[in-house]
Amino acid sequence: MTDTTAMSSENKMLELSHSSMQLYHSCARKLEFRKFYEYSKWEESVPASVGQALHRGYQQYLINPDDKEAAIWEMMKAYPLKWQKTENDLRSMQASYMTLLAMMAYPAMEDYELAYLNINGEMKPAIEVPFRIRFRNVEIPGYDLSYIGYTDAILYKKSADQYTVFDIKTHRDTSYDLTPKYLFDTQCIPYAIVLEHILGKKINTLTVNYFTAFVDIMQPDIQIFQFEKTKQDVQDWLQGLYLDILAIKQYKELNFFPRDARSCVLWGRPCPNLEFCHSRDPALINHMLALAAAAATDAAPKHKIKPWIDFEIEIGV
Amino acid sequence: MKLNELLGRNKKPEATPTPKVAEVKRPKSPLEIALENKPAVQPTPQPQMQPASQPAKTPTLQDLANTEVSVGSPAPEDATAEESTIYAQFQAARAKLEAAFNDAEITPALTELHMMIQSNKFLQDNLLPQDIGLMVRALRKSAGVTIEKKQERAAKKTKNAELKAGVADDLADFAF
Repeated sequence: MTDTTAMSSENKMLELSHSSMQLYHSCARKLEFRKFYEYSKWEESVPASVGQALHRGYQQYLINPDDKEAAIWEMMKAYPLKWQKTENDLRSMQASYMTLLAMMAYPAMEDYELAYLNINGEMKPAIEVPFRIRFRNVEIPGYDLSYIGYTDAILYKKSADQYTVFDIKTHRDTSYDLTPKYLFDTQCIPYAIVLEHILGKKINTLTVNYFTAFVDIMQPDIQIFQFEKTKQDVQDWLQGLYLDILAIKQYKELNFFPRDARSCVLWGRPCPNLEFCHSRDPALINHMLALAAAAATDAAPKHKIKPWIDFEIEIGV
Repeated sequence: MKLNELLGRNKKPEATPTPKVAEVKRPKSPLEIALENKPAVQPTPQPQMQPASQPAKTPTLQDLANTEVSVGSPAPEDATAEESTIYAQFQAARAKLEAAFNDAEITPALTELHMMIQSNKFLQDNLLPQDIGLMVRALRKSAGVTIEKKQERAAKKTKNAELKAGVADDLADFAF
Protein backbone atom coordinates (compact mmCIF):
# COMPACT_ATOMS: atom_id res chain seq x y z
CA MET A 1 0.00 0.00 0.00
CA THR A 2 1.61 3.25 -1.07
CA ASP A 3 0.45 6.72 -0.22
CA THR A 4 0.92 9.43 -2.78
CA THR A 5 -0.65 12.64 -3.88
CA ALA A 6 -0.18 12.02 -7.55
CA MET A 7 -3.33 12.10 -9.59
CA SER A 8 -3.35 12.49 -13.29
CA SER A 9 -5.81 11.57 -15.95
CA GLU A 10 -8.57 12.89 -18.13
CA ASN A 11 -10.66 9.94 -17.10
CA LYS A 12 -13.94 10.17 -15.25
CA MET A 13 -13.86 9.11 -11.63
CA LEU A 14 -15.71 5.91 -10.85
CA GLU A 15 -16.58 6.15 -7.17
CA LEU A 16 -17.23 2.82 -5.53
CA SER A 17 -18.53 2.57 -1.99
CA HIS A 18 -19.85 0.03 0.49
CA SER A 19 -23.38 0.48 -0.81
CA SER A 20 -22.41 0.36 -4.48
CA MET A 21 -20.45 -2.84 -3.88
CA GLN A 22 -23.46 -4.30 -2.09
CA LEU A 23 -25.47 -3.32 -5.14
CA TYR A 24 -22.89 -4.98 -7.38
CA HIS A 25 -23.00 -8.19 -5.38
CA SER A 26 -26.79 -8.25 -5.60
CA CYS A 27 -26.73 -7.75 -9.40
CA ALA A 28 -23.92 -6.53 -11.63
CA ARG A 29 -26.39 -4.84 -13.97
CA LYS A 30 -27.62 -2.66 -11.14
CA LEU A 31 -24.09 -1.37 -10.74
CA GLU A 32 -23.88 -0.80 -14.49
CA PHE A 33 -27.03 1.33 -14.47
CA ARG A 34 -26.01 3.22 -11.35
CA LYS A 35 -22.39 3.91 -12.20
CA PHE A 36 -21.93 3.71 -15.95
CA TYR A 37 -25.32 5.00 -17.08
CA GLU A 38 -25.49 7.21 -13.97
CA TYR A 39 -29.14 6.31 -13.50
CA SER A 40 -30.62 5.81 -10.09
CA LYS A 41 -34.20 6.17 -9.15
CA TRP A 42 -34.88 7.61 -5.75
CA GLU A 43 -36.43 5.01 -3.50
CA GLU A 44 -36.95 6.40 -0.07
CA SER A 45 -37.61 3.79 2.57
CA VAL A 46 -39.01 4.27 6.05
CA PRO A 47 -36.33 2.18 7.81
CA ALA A 48 -33.52 4.05 6.06
CA SER A 49 -35.06 7.47 6.66
CA VAL A 50 -35.80 6.74 10.32
CA GLY A 51 -32.25 5.40 10.68
CA GLN A 52 -30.93 8.61 9.18
CA ALA A 53 -32.97 10.68 11.64
CA LEU A 54 -31.59 8.68 14.57
CA HIS A 55 -28.07 9.08 13.19
CA ARG A 56 -28.54 12.84 13.11
CA GLY A 57 -29.89 12.93 16.65
CA TYR A 58 -27.19 10.74 18.14
CA GLN A 59 -24.40 12.48 16.27
CA GLN A 60 -25.63 15.80 17.64
CA TYR A 61 -25.54 14.24 21.11
CA LEU A 62 -21.92 13.16 20.56
CA ILE A 63 -21.05 16.73 19.62
CA ASN A 64 -22.76 18.22 22.67
CA PRO A 65 -23.71 15.59 25.27
CA ASP A 66 -24.93 18.33 27.64
CA ASP A 67 -27.82 19.24 25.41
CA LYS A 68 -30.07 16.27 24.85
CA GLU A 69 -32.92 18.45 23.66
CA ALA A 70 -30.84 19.68 20.76
CA ALA A 71 -30.19 16.02 19.86
CA ILE A 72 -33.91 15.22 20.04
CA TRP A 73 -34.67 18.20 17.83
CA GLU A 74 -32.08 17.09 15.28
CA MET A 75 -33.84 13.72 15.17
CA MET A 76 -37.25 15.39 14.85
CA LYS A 77 -36.10 17.64 12.02
CA ALA A 78 -34.86 14.68 10.01
CA TYR A 79 -37.71 12.34 10.88
CA PRO A 80 -39.79 11.34 7.80
CA LEU A 81 -43.12 12.36 9.31
CA LYS A 82 -44.93 12.13 5.98
CA TRP A 83 -44.57 8.33 6.15
CA GLN A 84 -45.97 7.97 9.65
CA LYS A 85 -49.48 6.59 9.72
CA THR A 86 -49.98 6.72 13.49
CA GLU A 87 -47.89 7.02 16.61
CA ASN A 88 -48.27 3.25 16.96
CA ASP A 89 -46.12 2.55 13.89
CA LEU A 90 -43.16 0.35 14.79
CA ARG A 91 -40.75 3.09 13.76
CA SER A 92 -42.91 6.04 14.75
CA MET A 93 -41.36 9.34 15.82
CA GLN A 94 -42.43 8.48 19.35
CA ALA A 95 -40.59 5.13 19.08
CA SER A 96 -37.58 6.95 17.64
CA TYR A 97 -37.68 9.38 20.55
CA MET A 98 -37.62 6.56 23.12
CA THR A 99 -34.86 4.84 21.16
CA LEU A 100 -32.76 7.98 21.01
CA LEU A 101 -33.16 8.44 24.77
CA ALA A 102 -31.92 4.87 25.26
CA MET A 103 -28.97 5.51 22.94
CA MET A 104 -28.01 8.65 24.84
CA ALA A 105 -28.32 6.86 28.18
CA TYR A 106 -26.23 3.86 27.15
CA PRO A 107 -23.68 3.58 29.96
CA ALA A 108 -20.76 2.09 28.04
CA MET A 109 -20.49 5.28 26.03
CA GLU A 110 -19.21 7.16 29.06
CA ASP A 111 -15.77 5.79 28.27
CA TYR A 112 -15.71 7.52 24.90
CA GLU A 113 -15.37 11.04 23.72
CA LEU A 114 -15.67 12.45 20.26
CA ALA A 115 -12.46 13.02 18.34
CA TYR A 116 -11.84 16.26 16.50
CA LEU A 117 -10.09 16.56 13.18
CA ASN A 118 -7.97 19.45 12.11
CA ILE A 119 -9.07 19.99 8.54
CA ASN A 120 -7.04 22.78 6.96
CA GLY A 121 -6.75 24.57 10.27
CA GLU A 122 -10.39 24.15 11.24
CA MET A 123 -11.28 21.78 14.07
CA LYS A 124 -14.21 19.63 13.06
CA PRO A 125 -15.99 16.95 15.06
CA ALA A 126 -15.19 13.53 13.60
CA ILE A 127 -18.79 12.89 12.59
CA GLU A 128 -19.80 11.68 9.13
CA VAL A 129 -16.17 11.96 8.10
CA PRO A 130 -16.09 11.93 4.29
CA PHE A 131 -13.14 10.11 2.75
CA ARG A 132 -11.89 9.00 -0.62
CA ILE A 133 -9.27 6.36 -1.30
CA ARG A 134 -8.02 6.53 -4.87
CA PHE A 135 -6.52 3.45 -6.48
CA ARG A 136 -3.43 4.28 -8.46
CA ASN A 137 -2.70 1.04 -10.23
CA VAL A 138 -6.12 -0.06 -11.43
CA GLU A 139 -8.20 1.50 -14.13
CA ILE A 140 -11.25 0.72 -16.16
CA PRO A 141 -11.02 2.21 -19.67
CA GLY A 142 -12.19 5.80 -19.38
CA TYR A 143 -12.37 5.69 -15.60
CA ASP A 144 -10.09 6.21 -12.63
CA LEU A 145 -11.18 4.34 -9.57
CA SER A 146 -11.78 5.38 -6.02
CA TYR A 147 -13.57 4.18 -2.94
CA ILE A 148 -15.60 6.70 -1.00
CA GLY A 149 -17.47 6.66 2.25
CA TYR A 150 -18.46 8.43 5.41
CA THR A 151 -17.31 7.25 8.81
CA ASP A 152 -20.23 7.66 11.21
CA ALA A 153 -18.00 8.70 14.11
CA ILE A 154 -14.41 8.47 15.29
CA LEU A 155 -14.25 8.36 19.06
CA TYR A 156 -11.45 8.33 21.59
CA LYS A 157 -11.64 5.54 24.15
CA LYS A 158 -10.32 6.98 27.36
CA SER A 159 -9.64 3.75 29.25
CA ALA A 160 -7.70 2.22 26.34
CA ASP A 161 -6.13 5.48 25.15
CA GLN A 162 -6.98 4.73 21.56
CA TYR A 163 -9.09 5.93 18.70
CA THR A 164 -11.91 3.77 17.50
CA VAL A 165 -14.57 3.98 14.82
CA PHE A 166 -18.29 3.74 15.39
CA ASP A 167 -20.95 2.70 13.00
CA ILE A 168 -24.51 3.35 14.08
CA LYS A 169 -27.04 0.71 13.06
CA THR A 170 -30.75 1.03 13.67
CA HIS A 171 -32.90 -2.02 13.10
CA ARG A 172 -35.95 -4.09 13.96
CA ASP A 173 -34.10 -7.39 13.91
CA THR A 174 -35.27 -9.65 16.72
CA SER A 175 -32.47 -12.21 16.31
CA TYR A 176 -31.14 -13.41 19.63
CA ASP A 177 -27.55 -12.59 18.74
CA LEU A 178 -26.55 -10.07 16.09
CA THR A 179 -22.85 -10.98 16.22
CA PRO A 180 -22.89 -13.02 12.99
CA LYS A 181 -24.46 -10.08 11.20
CA TYR A 182 -21.47 -7.85 11.88
CA LEU A 183 -18.56 -10.23 12.43
CA PHE A 184 -17.37 -10.25 8.82
CA ASP A 185 -19.07 -7.07 7.74
CA THR A 186 -16.61 -5.10 5.65
CA GLN A 187 -18.13 -1.65 5.93
CA CYS A 188 -15.75 -0.47 8.65
CA ILE A 189 -12.57 -2.01 7.27
CA PRO A 190 -11.57 0.87 4.98
CA TYR A 191 -11.93 3.10 8.03
CA ALA A 192 -8.74 1.43 9.29
CA ILE A 193 -6.88 2.70 6.23
CA VAL A 194 -8.41 6.13 6.70
CA LEU A 195 -7.54 6.23 10.40
CA GLU A 196 -4.00 5.14 9.62
CA HIS A 197 -3.73 7.98 7.17
CA ILE A 198 -5.07 10.49 9.70
CA LEU A 199 -2.71 9.35 12.43
CA GLY A 200 0.22 9.28 10.05
CA LYS A 201 1.46 5.95 11.35
CA LYS A 202 0.82 2.27 10.90
CA ILE A 203 -1.82 0.72 13.10
CA ASN A 204 -1.91 -3.01 13.61
CA THR A 205 -5.46 -3.35 14.76
CA LEU A 206 -8.52 -1.20 14.64
CA THR A 207 -11.40 -1.58 17.03
CA VAL A 208 -14.65 -1.14 15.20
CA ASN A 209 -17.86 -0.73 17.09
CA TYR A 210 -21.32 -1.39 15.79
CA PHE A 211 -23.56 0.72 17.97
CA THR A 212 -26.89 -0.95 17.36
CA ALA A 213 -30.32 0.31 18.30
CA PHE A 214 -33.48 -1.76 18.13
CA VAL A 215 -36.12 0.85 17.38
CA ASP A 216 -39.11 0.37 19.65
CA ILE A 217 -41.28 2.55 21.82
CA MET A 218 -41.65 0.07 24.68
CA GLN A 219 -38.36 -1.77 24.68
CA PRO A 220 -35.67 -0.05 22.66
CA ASP A 221 -32.56 -2.15 22.89
CA ILE A 222 -29.05 -0.76 22.56
CA GLN A 223 -26.00 -2.96 22.15
CA ILE A 224 -22.42 -2.48 21.11
CA PHE A 225 -20.69 -5.15 19.07
CA GLN A 226 -16.97 -4.69 19.10
CA PHE A 227 -14.52 -6.34 16.73
CA GLU A 228 -10.80 -6.08 16.22
CA LYS A 229 -9.88 -5.62 12.59
CA THR A 230 -6.34 -6.61 11.74
CA LYS A 231 -3.95 -6.08 8.86
CA GLN A 232 -5.17 -9.39 7.52
CA ASP A 233 -8.77 -8.12 7.43
CA VAL A 234 -7.63 -5.04 5.54
CA GLN A 235 -5.68 -7.18 3.06
CA ASP A 236 -8.65 -9.52 2.63
CA TRP A 237 -10.91 -6.59 1.92
CA LEU A 238 -8.50 -5.01 -0.56
CA GLN A 239 -7.96 -8.29 -2.38
CA GLY A 240 -11.68 -8.93 -2.61
CA LEU A 241 -12.24 -5.41 -3.89
CA TYR A 242 -9.44 -5.78 -6.42
CA LEU A 243 -10.96 -8.98 -7.80
CA ASP A 244 -14.36 -7.29 -8.01
CA ILE A 245 -12.78 -4.39 -9.90
CA LEU A 246 -11.15 -6.79 -12.36
CA ALA A 247 -14.53 -8.43 -12.96
CA ILE A 248 -16.23 -5.06 -13.41
CA LYS A 249 -13.50 -4.07 -15.87
CA GLN A 250 -14.10 -7.24 -17.84
CA TYR A 251 -17.87 -6.72 -17.87
CA LYS A 252 -17.36 -3.17 -19.06
CA GLU A 253 -15.01 -4.20 -21.86
CA LEU A 254 -17.42 -6.92 -22.98
CA ASN A 255 -20.43 -4.62 -22.52
CA PHE A 256 -21.99 -7.47 -20.63
CA PHE A 257 -22.88 -7.00 -17.00
CA PRO A 258 -24.68 -10.19 -15.95
CA ARG A 259 -28.03 -9.76 -14.29
CA ASP A 260 -29.13 -11.65 -11.22
CA ALA A 261 -32.82 -12.49 -11.38
CA ARG A 262 -32.96 -12.91 -7.60
CA SER A 263 -32.67 -9.14 -7.30
CA CYS A 264 -35.44 -8.21 -9.73
CA VAL A 265 -37.76 -7.89 -6.74
CA LEU A 266 -36.41 -6.59 -3.49
CA TRP A 267 -38.42 -5.79 -0.35
CA GLY A 268 -41.55 -6.38 -2.40
CA ARG A 269 -40.63 -3.77 -4.99
CA PRO A 270 -39.55 -4.35 -8.59
CA CYS A 271 -36.04 -3.25 -9.53
CA PRO A 272 -36.13 0.35 -10.83
CA ASN A 273 -34.10 -0.72 -13.88
CA LEU A 274 -36.54 -3.44 -14.86
CA GLU A 275 -37.99 -1.58 -17.84
CA PHE A 276 -34.56 -0.95 -19.39
CA CYS A 277 -32.82 -4.16 -18.43
CA HIS A 278 -33.87 -6.16 -21.49
CA SER A 279 -31.56 -4.11 -23.73
CA ARG A 280 -27.80 -4.40 -24.08
CA ASP A 281 -27.58 -1.60 -26.62
CA PRO A 282 -25.93 1.44 -24.98
CA ALA A 283 -27.51 3.88 -27.46
CA LEU A 284 -31.00 2.51 -26.85
CA ILE A 285 -30.51 2.41 -23.11
CA ASN A 286 -29.25 6.00 -23.08
CA HIS A 287 -32.26 7.06 -25.12
CA MET A 288 -34.69 5.29 -22.79
CA LEU A 289 -32.99 6.69 -19.72
CA ALA A 290 -33.07 10.19 -21.13
CA LEU A 291 -36.82 9.86 -21.70
CA ALA A 292 -37.26 8.45 -18.21
CA ALA A 293 -35.18 11.22 -16.68
CA ALA A 294 -37.24 13.88 -18.47
CA ALA A 295 -40.42 12.46 -16.99
CA ALA A 296 -38.99 11.64 -13.57
CA THR A 297 -40.07 13.39 -10.43
CA ASP A 298 -38.17 11.05 -8.16
CA ALA A 299 -34.57 11.24 -9.29
CA ALA A 300 -32.11 10.38 -6.57
CA PRO A 301 -30.49 13.48 -5.11
CA LYS A 302 -26.89 13.63 -6.24
CA HIS A 303 -24.48 14.29 -3.43
CA LYS A 304 -21.00 15.17 -4.53
CA ILE A 305 -18.65 13.99 -1.85
CA LYS A 306 -16.22 16.57 -0.52
CA PRO A 307 -13.71 14.36 1.23
CA TRP A 308 -11.83 15.63 4.25
CA ILE A 309 -9.44 12.78 3.79
CA ASP A 310 -8.33 12.02 0.26
CA PHE A 311 -5.35 9.88 -0.61
CA GLU A 312 -4.08 7.33 -3.06
CA ILE A 313 -2.96 3.74 -2.62
CA GLU A 314 -1.96 0.77 -4.72
CA ILE A 315 -3.89 -2.45 -4.54
CA GLY A 316 -3.40 -5.92 -5.95
CA VAL A 317 -3.21 -9.57 -5.07
CA MET B 1 -31.65 34.18 18.09
CA LYS B 2 -31.84 31.04 15.96
CA LEU B 3 -31.03 27.55 17.12
CA ASN B 4 -28.04 27.36 14.80
CA GLU B 5 -26.55 30.39 16.46
CA LEU B 6 -27.33 29.05 19.91
CA LEU B 7 -25.65 25.79 19.13
CA GLY B 8 -22.61 27.61 17.87
CA ARG B 9 -23.12 26.74 14.23
CA ASN B 10 -22.68 29.13 11.34
CA LYS B 11 -20.75 31.46 13.56
CA LYS B 12 -18.15 33.77 12.19
CA PRO B 13 -14.68 32.28 12.45
CA GLU B 14 -13.59 34.44 15.37
CA ALA B 15 -16.65 33.39 17.38
CA THR B 16 -16.29 29.65 16.72
CA PRO B 17 -15.60 27.76 19.93
CA THR B 18 -12.44 26.06 18.75
CA PRO B 19 -11.35 23.15 20.89
CA LYS B 20 -7.97 23.82 22.43
CA VAL B 21 -5.41 21.07 22.62
CA ALA B 22 -4.01 22.55 25.79
CA GLU B 23 -7.25 21.92 27.62
CA VAL B 24 -6.91 18.14 27.51
CA LYS B 25 -6.22 17.24 31.11
CA ARG B 26 -4.49 13.91 30.82
CA PRO B 27 -0.99 12.71 30.10
CA LYS B 28 0.03 12.67 26.48
CA SER B 29 -0.76 9.42 24.81
CA PRO B 30 1.70 7.58 22.57
CA LEU B 31 -0.66 8.53 19.78
CA GLU B 32 -0.33 12.24 20.45
CA ILE B 33 3.41 11.91 20.85
CA ALA B 34 3.47 10.13 17.50
CA LEU B 35 1.39 12.93 16.02
CA GLU B 36 3.81 15.54 17.34
CA ASN B 37 6.78 13.65 15.93
CA LYS B 38 5.37 13.42 12.47
CA PRO B 39 7.72 14.40 9.65
CA ALA B 40 7.73 18.12 8.96
CA VAL B 41 6.92 17.58 5.31
CA GLN B 42 3.95 15.44 4.49
CA PRO B 43 3.18 14.08 1.04
CA THR B 44 -0.42 15.25 1.47
CA PRO B 45 -1.94 17.64 3.99
CA GLN B 46 -2.52 15.25 6.88
CA PRO B 47 -5.64 15.86 8.88
CA GLN B 48 -4.78 15.82 12.57
CA MET B 49 -6.97 14.27 15.17
CA GLN B 50 -7.44 14.77 18.84
CA PRO B 51 -10.00 13.77 21.43
CA ALA B 52 -12.77 16.21 22.15
CA SER B 53 -10.97 18.79 24.19
CA GLN B 54 -14.11 20.20 25.69
CA PRO B 55 -15.11 22.77 23.10
CA ALA B 56 -16.49 25.91 24.66
CA LYS B 57 -19.86 24.96 26.05
CA THR B 58 -22.67 26.12 23.86
CA PRO B 59 -25.86 27.24 25.54
CA THR B 60 -28.35 24.43 26.02
CA LEU B 61 -32.05 24.73 25.45
CA GLN B 62 -32.49 24.38 29.18
CA ASP B 63 -30.22 27.39 29.69
CA LEU B 64 -32.67 29.36 27.64
CA ALA B 65 -35.68 28.45 29.71
CA ASN B 66 -36.00 31.99 31.01
CA THR B 67 -35.83 33.75 27.68
CA GLU B 68 -38.90 35.55 26.42
CA VAL B 69 -41.67 33.44 25.02
CA SER B 70 -42.67 33.77 21.41
CA VAL B 71 -46.40 33.22 21.71
CA GLY B 72 -48.04 35.76 19.50
CA SER B 73 -44.72 37.22 18.41
CA PRO B 74 -44.88 38.95 15.05
CA ALA B 75 -43.36 37.55 11.89
CA PRO B 76 -39.77 38.60 11.18
CA GLU B 77 -39.53 42.13 9.84
CA ASP B 78 -38.22 41.14 6.44
CA ALA B 79 -41.01 38.59 5.86
CA THR B 80 -43.08 38.86 2.70
CA ALA B 81 -46.87 38.98 2.86
CA GLU B 82 -47.03 35.27 2.08
CA GLU B 83 -44.46 34.48 4.76
CA SER B 84 -46.37 36.58 7.27
CA THR B 85 -49.49 34.56 6.54
CA ILE B 86 -47.56 31.31 7.01
CA TYR B 87 -46.12 32.63 10.23
CA ALA B 88 -49.60 33.52 11.49
CA GLN B 89 -50.76 29.99 10.68
CA PHE B 90 -47.73 28.66 12.50
CA GLN B 91 -48.57 30.76 15.57
CA ALA B 92 -52.13 29.44 15.54
CA ALA B 93 -50.93 25.83 15.30
CA ARG B 94 -48.39 26.53 18.02
CA ALA B 95 -51.07 27.89 20.34
CA LYS B 96 -53.16 24.81 19.61
CA LEU B 97 -50.25 22.58 20.59
CA GLU B 98 -49.72 24.48 23.83
CA ALA B 99 -53.40 24.09 24.65
CA ALA B 100 -53.21 20.37 23.84
CA PHE B 101 -50.79 19.79 26.71
CA ASN B 102 -53.83 19.52 28.93
CA ASP B 103 -55.42 16.87 26.70
CA ALA B 104 -54.67 13.21 26.34
CA GLU B 105 -54.61 13.77 22.57
CA ILE B 106 -51.54 15.88 22.03
CA THR B 107 -50.22 13.88 19.08
CA PRO B 108 -52.46 15.36 16.33
CA ALA B 109 -51.52 18.93 17.33
CA LEU B 110 -47.84 17.97 17.41
CA THR B 111 -48.04 16.28 14.02
CA GLU B 112 -49.83 19.28 12.49
CA LEU B 113 -47.23 21.77 13.70
CA HIS B 114 -44.30 19.49 12.91
CA MET B 115 -45.53 18.87 9.35
CA MET B 116 -45.97 22.60 8.91
CA ILE B 117 -42.38 23.20 9.97
CA GLN B 118 -40.96 20.36 7.90
CA SER B 119 -42.67 21.60 4.76
CA ASN B 120 -41.68 25.23 5.09
CA LYS B 121 -38.12 26.48 4.98
CA PHE B 122 -39.14 29.95 6.10
CA LEU B 123 -40.47 28.51 9.36
CA GLN B 124 -37.39 26.32 9.80
CA ASP B 125 -35.17 29.37 9.45
CA ASN B 126 -37.16 31.45 11.88
CA LEU B 127 -37.84 29.01 14.69
CA LEU B 128 -37.05 30.36 18.12
CA PRO B 129 -35.44 28.26 20.86
CA GLN B 130 -38.70 28.27 22.80
CA ASP B 131 -40.51 26.89 19.73
CA ILE B 132 -38.04 24.03 19.63
CA GLY B 133 -38.35 23.49 23.36
CA LEU B 134 -42.11 23.28 22.96
CA MET B 135 -41.80 20.72 20.15
CA VAL B 136 -39.46 18.54 22.19
CA ARG B 137 -41.70 18.72 25.26
CA ALA B 138 -44.69 17.86 23.10
CA LEU B 139 -42.92 14.81 21.70
CA ARG B 140 -42.02 13.70 25.22
CA LYS B 141 -45.67 14.02 26.26
CA SER B 142 -46.89 12.32 23.08
CA ALA B 143 -44.53 9.37 23.61
CA GLY B 144 -45.69 9.12 27.22
CA VAL B 145 -49.35 9.08 26.20
CA THR B 146 -48.65 6.48 23.51
CA ILE B 147 -46.84 4.24 25.99
CA GLU B 148 -49.68 4.57 28.52
CA LYS B 149 -52.23 3.58 25.91
CA LYS B 150 -50.15 0.58 24.86
CA GLN B 151 -49.83 -0.51 28.48
CA GLU B 152 -53.59 -0.14 28.98
CA ARG B 153 -54.27 -2.23 25.89
CA ALA B 154 -51.79 -4.87 27.05
CA ALA B 155 -53.38 -4.97 30.52
CA LYS B 156 -56.85 -5.26 28.98
CA LYS B 157 -55.66 -8.06 26.72
CA THR B 158 -54.20 -9.93 29.70
CA LYS B 159 -57.43 -9.48 31.66
CA ASN B 160 -59.51 -10.78 28.74
CA ALA B 161 -57.19 -13.75 28.34
CA GLU B 162 -57.57 -14.53 32.06
CA LEU B 163 -61.37 -14.29 31.82
CA LYS B 164 -61.39 -16.61 28.80
CA ALA B 165 -59.12 -19.06 30.61
CA GLY B 166 -61.46 -18.94 33.63
CA VAL B 167 -64.49 -19.70 31.46
CA ALA B 168 -62.60 -22.52 29.79
CA ASP B 169 -61.76 -23.94 33.23
CA ASP B 170 -65.42 -23.75 34.28
CA LEU B 171 -66.56 -25.45 31.07
CA ALA B 172 -64.03 -28.21 31.62
CA ASP B 173 -66.12 -29.42 34.58
CA PHE B 174 -69.21 -29.90 32.44
CA ALA B 175 -70.10 -33.42 31.53
CA PHE B 176 -72.98 -34.60 29.36
